[in-house]
Amino acid sequence: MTIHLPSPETGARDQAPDQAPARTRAPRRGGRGGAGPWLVVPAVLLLGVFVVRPLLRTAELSLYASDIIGNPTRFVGLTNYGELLTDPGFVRVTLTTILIALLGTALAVTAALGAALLLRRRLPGGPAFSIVFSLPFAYSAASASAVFAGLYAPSVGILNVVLAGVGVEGPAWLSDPVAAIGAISIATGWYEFGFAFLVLTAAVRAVPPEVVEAAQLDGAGGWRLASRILVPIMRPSLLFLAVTGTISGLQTFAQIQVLTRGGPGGATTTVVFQLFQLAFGNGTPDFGRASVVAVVLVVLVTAVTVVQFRLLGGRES
Amino acid sequence: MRARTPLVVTAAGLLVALTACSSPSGSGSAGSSAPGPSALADAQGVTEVSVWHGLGGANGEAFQAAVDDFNSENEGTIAVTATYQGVYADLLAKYNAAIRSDSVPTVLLGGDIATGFLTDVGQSIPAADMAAANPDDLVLGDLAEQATNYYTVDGVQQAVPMNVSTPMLWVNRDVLAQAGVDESDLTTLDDVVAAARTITDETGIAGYSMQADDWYIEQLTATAGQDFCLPANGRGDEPATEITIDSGLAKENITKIADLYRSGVAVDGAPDGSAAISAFQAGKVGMIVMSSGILGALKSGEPFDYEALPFPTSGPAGESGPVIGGSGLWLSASATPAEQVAGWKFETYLTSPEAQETFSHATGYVPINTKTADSPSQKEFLQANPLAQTFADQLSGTPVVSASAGCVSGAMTAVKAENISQIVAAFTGQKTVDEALDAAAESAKAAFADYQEQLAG
Amino acid sequence: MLGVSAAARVAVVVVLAAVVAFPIYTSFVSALTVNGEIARHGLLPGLGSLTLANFAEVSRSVDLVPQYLVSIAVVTLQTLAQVATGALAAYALVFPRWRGKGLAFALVLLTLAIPGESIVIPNYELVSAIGLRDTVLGVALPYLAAGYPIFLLRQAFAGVPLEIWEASRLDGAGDLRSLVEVILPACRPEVTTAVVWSALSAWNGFFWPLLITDSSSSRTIQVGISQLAASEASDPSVLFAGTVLVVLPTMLLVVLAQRLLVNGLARGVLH
Repeated sequence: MTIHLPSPETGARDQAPDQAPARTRAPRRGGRGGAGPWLVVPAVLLLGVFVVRPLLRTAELSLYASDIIGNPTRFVGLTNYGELLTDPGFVRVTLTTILIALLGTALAVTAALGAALLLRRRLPGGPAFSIVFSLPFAYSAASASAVFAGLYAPSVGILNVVLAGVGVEGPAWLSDPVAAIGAISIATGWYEFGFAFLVLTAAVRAVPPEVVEAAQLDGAGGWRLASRILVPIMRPSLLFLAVTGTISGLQTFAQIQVLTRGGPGGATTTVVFQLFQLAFGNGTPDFGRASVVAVVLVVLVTAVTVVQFRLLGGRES
Repeated sequence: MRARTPLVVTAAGLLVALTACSSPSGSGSAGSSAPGPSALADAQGVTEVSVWHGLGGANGEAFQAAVDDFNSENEGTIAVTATYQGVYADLLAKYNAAIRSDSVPTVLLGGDIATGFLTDVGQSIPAADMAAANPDDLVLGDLAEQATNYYTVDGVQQAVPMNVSTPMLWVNRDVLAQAGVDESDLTTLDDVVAAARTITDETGIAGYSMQADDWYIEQLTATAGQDFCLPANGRGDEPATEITIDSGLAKENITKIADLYRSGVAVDGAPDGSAAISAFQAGKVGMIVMSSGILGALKSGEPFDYEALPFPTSGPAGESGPVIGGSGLWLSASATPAEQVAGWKFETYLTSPEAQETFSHATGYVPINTKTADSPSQKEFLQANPLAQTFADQLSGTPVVSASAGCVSGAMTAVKAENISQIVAAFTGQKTVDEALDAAAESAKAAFADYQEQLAG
Repeated sequence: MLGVSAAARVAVVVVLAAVVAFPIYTSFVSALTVNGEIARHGLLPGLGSLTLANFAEVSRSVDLVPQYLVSIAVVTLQTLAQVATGALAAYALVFPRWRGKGLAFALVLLTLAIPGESIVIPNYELVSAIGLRDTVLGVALPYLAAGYPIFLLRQAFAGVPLEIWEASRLDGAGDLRSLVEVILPACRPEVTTAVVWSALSAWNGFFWPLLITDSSSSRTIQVGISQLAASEASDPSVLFAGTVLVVLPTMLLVVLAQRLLVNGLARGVLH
């Protein structure tokens, strides 16, 4: 049976994400209503086994030392935590991770905002530009990193070749510590740009035309229109992008694995890469210490996610 | 109540998941004795042998060719499948994973620095035992002692060296000519350092580069006549506890090279050496210190006038010399006896004079079997390819002493990664050489200690 | 006035587009020419210097076809599973009344905050122990259910007017029929969003597939391309050829499904 409904966007959407719908229902217990609740079981079971239990197990592993193939051995309590959190190297890793996350996101969102605003009004070739700006969305972190590996490669990298062609000497992208962080951030910002552009284009188009007209009648043009009217209206989308970009930035791994392997001299080692090294990359897997890093990562990401829900939670555009 | 049932089921499911599957043990030490030829002779059908290796590019192709040759010679009895698992670090990670799930390959062509770990993890039958049980196959004495020495721990040879490389000083003859540097003057490290400066001063071209890998730092230590780690390079009764690069002649050597980088005479070679090779081929650097194994890459690029000279000396003759590189063959202790004997036959084939001859021609690795030099075709080849002779001479001329045996420890991967990380920081001027070497020594001590802790369980 | 500002806008857009397109353009050009061509002749190669040799080289060094198939299999499996379990769970979280509904939803929300990498080690232990290393199922198994589709669909279902659901129940439909015939069609945009989200995250997966696969032919295409980057560091042309091949399907999606992406995906994620 088909029933035509108004689009869900105009339906009743006034709940915060963590509240059950506040409506009265006819009681459905007993009879055929009993089947309904069971439908939640597959998802909950899978999430329980593959997400919740592993989280608890990670916490457990972090309290143990490991043997040389990674099995937990003796209980060491919080020793691993003490070691790791007081290690200046790890502090540096955390700061590097946060820096890369923020830089990459800032690049992506700012550039995408500019592109979306510029394309708001009709432009010759507008749709073509729109497609070009969406293209980076087609790249994953791994494939984007592979492309940038070819651009950044020492001596033969295309980027420096092209820069040399216009008389600019490009830096040693992957072997200079500062340039390497820039290199990673640029690669990250580039592929995140695509998604940011799509989201912000949708947000720009959702701005009610009356608001724009009213502002234009008031004499606001170009820059002022954008900064005083449009950007504030697009704030939820911008916040959303900023937060999700930061969260995924905190989990940066593929770019490091492909481009720098944590170098030069540990300058681009991120938290997840450190986890990978400890657990799988160093030749003698240390699941105990790696799990400590994993727990720290959970804390970092949870903190940012909580912020996300606070900022965006009750806010429906 | 029925409406609560889903919750109960879910909770039960979670409970089951929580208590189920604690970590798998991963089989411990083998302790099985080595099987003899009858194990394979009695086997029915085709015995399958799996081999994991870390040889990419041209070297990987040459290895596959050897595998194919062996398979065609043993059709119907043995079938070998070789898989490239990535660079040595990735290969080792995969191997660790395989231990956990009891799916190790029959033969592992493991990187040199994994020797300590592979010995300690006890998953392999020592080569010495297999050789004793299969006297008609590989005779370990036929292999170059400088190489078997590397894979001998506690007096027992653990693995069979298969592809052995030696570090060389590669020079671009055109650049040398431009700078007025004479090849024959490049014997000691001081000579090389001076020549690098001359090259840059006279021509503006970079004078030196090398792969940003700790293997080369170990070379600077071994050629200084110094044990890379103490005590006794980890090869005695006691495991290694510290490294020595922060003192003695080794430190002087490293400082001299670091000064080349800091003064702009040397350029970065990249952790995988690709930048050094590319720059060398493009005439952008006059001399590079790289493995003999890059010959394949140089030959397949655009031709130019280059030469490989022996690694620069610095320590007392007779007590110092370069450490070998490459990888060795480890035979799984958990494979079936038939597979083990089949794998041993494969190892015998790979290290035979004929196979080594073919392999070395294509790659630049040095033939590991001392009898290779006897064949007329090899003699011809060496005459036509003096570089190959240079490689072989350097290997055979290395004194079999503690310094040139290289350091063995399960912590080597971690130690080397941290070392090169610090030293590159010194090269780029982020730290002073003293700071970098002290930091490296500190964290090496910690790495060795952590490893012993893990080993004890 | 309008002319100047429009021209300025066009100029800025062109520059921005050039910067964004640069990596894509160079990778395509380099993939189609011999290594070093750009260094020699600049960014506009003559038609005569185009070649497919790099692609041939890629298919020699990487098991492209098996890896593509693995990626497609993983995407199919994960997407179907995530959307199916998600729709079922979302239904159960919205329509029937039962005790523990809040707890279950809290559990789902909790999983949204957990980064995948933090739980990799135990999953690795588990999947290895049940012998699913190096298999498609092993790659997909930890991701057969995901918090985000559940969340998205739950929000969507909650927006369906109650009367619609009650009407279908009064008409005699059981929960499953109700879900499939009434609720899902009513939430087409969000379902599409969930499908696209699941498919994309399955396609882009990297860390987990890297760990759980060993042999070249069981890897996903993302892992394959990263290994190509390692082995072809000195030959960017071949590497670029590989990236072109990996990116073609999603690039087609982006080019052809612009409207879908802007309307469905972009809007959908904001609710």
